[in-house]
Amino acid sequence: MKILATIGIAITAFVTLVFGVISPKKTPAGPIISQSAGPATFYMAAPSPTTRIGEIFPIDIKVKADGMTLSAIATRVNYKYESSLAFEPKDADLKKDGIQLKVSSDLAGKGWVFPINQVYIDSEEKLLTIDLAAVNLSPEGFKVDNEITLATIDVLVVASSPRLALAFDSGETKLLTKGGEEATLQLKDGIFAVR
Amino acid sequence: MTWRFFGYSIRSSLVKVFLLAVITLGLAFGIILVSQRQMFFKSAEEIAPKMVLLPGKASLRFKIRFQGVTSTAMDKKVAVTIKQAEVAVSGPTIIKVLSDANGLYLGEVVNIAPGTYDIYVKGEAHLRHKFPAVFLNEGINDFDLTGVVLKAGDFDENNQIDIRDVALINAQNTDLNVPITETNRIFDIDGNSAININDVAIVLSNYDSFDVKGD
Repeated sequence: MKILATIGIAITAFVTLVFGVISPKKTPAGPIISQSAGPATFYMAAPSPTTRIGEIFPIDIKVKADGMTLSAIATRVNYKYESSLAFEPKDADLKKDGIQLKVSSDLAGKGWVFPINQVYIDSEEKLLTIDLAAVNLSPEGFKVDNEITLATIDVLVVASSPRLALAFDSGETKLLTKGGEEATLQLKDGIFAVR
Repeated sequence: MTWRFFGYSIRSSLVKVFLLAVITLGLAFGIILVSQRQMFFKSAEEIAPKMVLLPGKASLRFKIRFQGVTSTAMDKKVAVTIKQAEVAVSGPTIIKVLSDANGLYLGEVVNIAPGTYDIYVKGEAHLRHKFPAVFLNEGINDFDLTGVVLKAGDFDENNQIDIRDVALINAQNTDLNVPITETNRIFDIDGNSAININDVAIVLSNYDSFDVKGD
């Protein structure tokens, strides 16, 4: 009986092998991004949480992605104001149309390009929007040791405001690794005030 | 226990196991053969769509241009959807298009009722473009649609170019020239049989806002 059982098992194994190796495998319809990297944190930083009218106030957009090898980053920051805009964003590149952010020296010369870098002001909707996308073109990607500054927006403060709340748009803020994985994100909005 | 098999009485366990093995293997190979045959039919449909033009019907023979391709390049697939008043009357039909010496691609969709249509063409890695008000007469209709370039960069087939698409092609950009395979060929935008920084640059040239969508 042992011999028979062995033969049975061998046949089953052979059939399994045949199905596993020869039979056609299902393939996905197209490339997909898996969401398995991270977590990474987007946040904003300024020299102080408060500023004064007449000051140029620099606000950094930063990412903490310790140990990750980055390929592409996109972020949208919204500032919804009420009566009038409390600050004027300064254009970092006068040669280009519109208002640009100042891209970080952390990334300069390290294979980064910025296909999207624009500040929009919709006075009807009373909404300021910052769109930024950065792509690292080096074949090995960009290894982050701790955190990086993506870009800085310098604003001229023109009116007092008890609360300047710059919020990351979770739908448009993405961080992708060189392996094509999308990182899970923590988004920490920037809360500032004009005294 | 005695088995009856085509009129024979079988008592030996060894013979029973042998019979079971033969039946199992026969079933296994039968299933495999059927699977292979289905795959072949599927690919045959894609490669050689029904080319016989039926009487009273129209054929749309078109020439299109893919971004970045300027000379003879690999075959591509496109999805052609034919609409009237925003309602699809045909498709999307997946057809293979072939490149000429100038990198222009030729394709054909047959057996459409004569009439005026909006023709939507989408490449495997390209945004869909609408060619409006195309009038098809009975018989063969030749259209040069190369005045528009199909924009490259939609790899996840959602008809828009976003940071995920950029990351998908950038994940392939791991060397000066990455040889193409069956799985990565859609990233070879310029059709030079390699994936390199030029392909990434073409996609980046289209990614100029968070809202790049096809028709």
